[in-house]
Amino acid sequence: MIERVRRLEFDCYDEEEIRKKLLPLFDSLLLTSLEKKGGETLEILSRSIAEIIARKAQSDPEELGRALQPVISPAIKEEIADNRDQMIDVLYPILGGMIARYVTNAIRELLETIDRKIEERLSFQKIKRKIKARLSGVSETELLLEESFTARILSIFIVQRESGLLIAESNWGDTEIDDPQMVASMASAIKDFINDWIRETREVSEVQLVSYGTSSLYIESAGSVYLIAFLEREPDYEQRERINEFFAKLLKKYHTFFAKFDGDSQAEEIKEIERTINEFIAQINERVSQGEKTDSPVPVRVVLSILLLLILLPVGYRLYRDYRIHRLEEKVRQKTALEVKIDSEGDHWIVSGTVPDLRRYDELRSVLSQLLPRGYVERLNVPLYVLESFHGRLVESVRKNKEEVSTLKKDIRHLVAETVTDRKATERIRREIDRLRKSFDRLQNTLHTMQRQMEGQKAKLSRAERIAKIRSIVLERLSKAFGDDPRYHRKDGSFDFKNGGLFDEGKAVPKAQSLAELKKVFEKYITILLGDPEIRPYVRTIEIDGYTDSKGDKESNLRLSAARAKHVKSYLASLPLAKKLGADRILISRGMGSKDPVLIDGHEDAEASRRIKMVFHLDDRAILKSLQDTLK
Amino acid sequence: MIRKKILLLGDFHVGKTSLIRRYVDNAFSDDYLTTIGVKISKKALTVDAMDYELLIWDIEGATPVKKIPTRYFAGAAGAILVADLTRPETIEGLSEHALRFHAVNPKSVCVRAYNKVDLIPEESRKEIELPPDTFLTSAKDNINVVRLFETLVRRIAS
Repeated sequence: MIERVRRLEFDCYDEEEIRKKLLPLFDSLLLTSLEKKGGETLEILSRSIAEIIARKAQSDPEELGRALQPVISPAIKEEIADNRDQMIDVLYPILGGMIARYVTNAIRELLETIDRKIEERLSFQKIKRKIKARLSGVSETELLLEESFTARILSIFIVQRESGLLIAESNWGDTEIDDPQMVASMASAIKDFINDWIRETREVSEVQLVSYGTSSLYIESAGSVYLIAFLEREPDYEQRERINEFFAKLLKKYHTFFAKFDGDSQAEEIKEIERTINEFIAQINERVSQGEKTDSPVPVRVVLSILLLLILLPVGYRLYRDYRIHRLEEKVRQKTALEVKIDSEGDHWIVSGTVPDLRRYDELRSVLSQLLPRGYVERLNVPLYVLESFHGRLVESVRKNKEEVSTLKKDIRHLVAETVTDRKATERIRREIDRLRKSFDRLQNTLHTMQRQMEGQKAKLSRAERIAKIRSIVLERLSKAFGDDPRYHRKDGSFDFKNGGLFDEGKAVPKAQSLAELKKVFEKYITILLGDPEIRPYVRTIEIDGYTDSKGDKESNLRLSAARAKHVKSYLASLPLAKKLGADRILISRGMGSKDPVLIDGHEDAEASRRIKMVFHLDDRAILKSLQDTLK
Repeated sequence: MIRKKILLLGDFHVGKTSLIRRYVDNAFSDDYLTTIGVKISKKALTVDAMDYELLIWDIEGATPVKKIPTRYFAGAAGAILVADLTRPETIEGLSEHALRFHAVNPKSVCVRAYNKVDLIPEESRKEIELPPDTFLTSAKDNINVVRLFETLVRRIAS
């Protein structure tokens, strides 16, 4: 190329001609260098091109855009086709920002439009909205946005909560949901599924709104049922409130039916419920349609009516007040025959006029206090001569009152003096009563002590009497025990075994067959004497006396009888009861010989005479000592 | 028309869904079964001159690691407990299903289906001991399917 330039022959030296010839050569040279990616050339060119583009972009960006567009557009298109993902990664930060800015601008414009509309329009709706915004704290703009998005209700289902069975349904216009039973059941299952999931994951109670596409499903549960409203959009707060209110009314009326619903689709209530739902849907959707119509400005007649009302209100009030005053004056005249003038100033009633005398004045005041119970300002005149006369009477009255007061004072003084005297006397009596009460208490104590002593003495005497009579007591007990037994002697309490066949002739040992009877009588005898703690201390001995028949000489009989008594005593002392009661220690024996033989018709019954006797002896010393101790 | 909710319960892969598919008029997609654990189908029928519409809840089968979700049990008038005749453990498991079902619906009734009877030779079928209200069923050969559902409806009605 350089060679070609060297060999270049110039036909003329015209600058334009030379440029025309050289430029293609430069272009070719530049192209060759670029194709070879010559570092220096690229460096120089990139610097210049960047500078040129920057300059052009500043001076005429549109022209630069037009110039580059045919080149850049196909290139980008091709790049997107070849490397779609990479291009998205590259473009997203730029385009995302642009879209966001675009959307923000669009929303801002929308809000500005709404604000402008708010400012421009004077409507009841606006007043209502303003109040609502103030109360709820939500901006007026947001409320207007909500209003602009009020949704139509397409269908409402009432579904049994537990079973998911559809109880009632109603649709708007031509809207129809295919197989509503299946939809209700499936919605119920999905709702339960979501509720379970929500409960597991968050602290939210129940799903209430499900959106699909542009439509929404609003669910409200209560009691044994829940309501599903199918809406064309998401319902706003107010609309949800309306649906909830309707649902509450429905529940109130049909809660018993809902609770007892058993799947019977022919129930009468279902038709009623569906009719009610249909009316509600129509009412809501009608309201939505009306809401879409432009709010018309307040009609002129309404403004005029308000103005008229504002004017008429004070006039009406004035008329009413005058009428009332007139009525009051009339009543005063009727009751008192006095002409007074009644007027009002702010909240006060003012009564003015002239009263002929004080009696009438009192009458008037009484009537006025009844008619004007909340009070009034009095501007009444009474003639001077009446007042002077009144003054004279007043002075006289005061004088009389003073006298009365003086008299009363004297009376009071006298009463006070009497009261003081009485008080002293009362004090004296009280002291005397106290003294007497103390004496009485002392006497009462003494009396109690004496009573106690007397009771003690009485008890002692009673005890001593029983001790003194101990023998009689013993005999009485024995008599009671042995009764009419002929062997028992009531007089001395002895027991004579004279018919027992106790001993064989000349023998000292009792017959074996007679021992049982001996034992029986002896045990009964000692139980009375030694088993009673009252008698026991005074029993000195129990004596066993032995006897013989009259045969033989006196000496041998005496020995035989003593031996008989001793044998019996040994036998009786060996008995367990005798040992238990201590009888073995006080048993004694004595031989009586042939004394007191048993005679039948003047002849001795020798067998009966061979016998023993049993008798007790009391300890007189012990009795005496006990008596002394008791009476000490 | 009396509408009733009934359940199909049983272990995994005992043939509950096949029984329903054989029987019903209309059903949602099977996808729901795997998504939320239940699929609902509908069947209209007349039993003893009374019209019924059954909403049949096919509840996802239990596996060793996953219990049946009881959230769907409430309000069911009856249940069909399904077992696979070729897997004895699924028959044993029916008692637990019945227990769980009655815990939620104490007054409701159950019938049992020993399913897949087509896999058992005919001569052996007579030897199978059947508790009361239990049927040998086959969704494949349509054995006792209608009878199963109608019996449940009769039990509910009585």
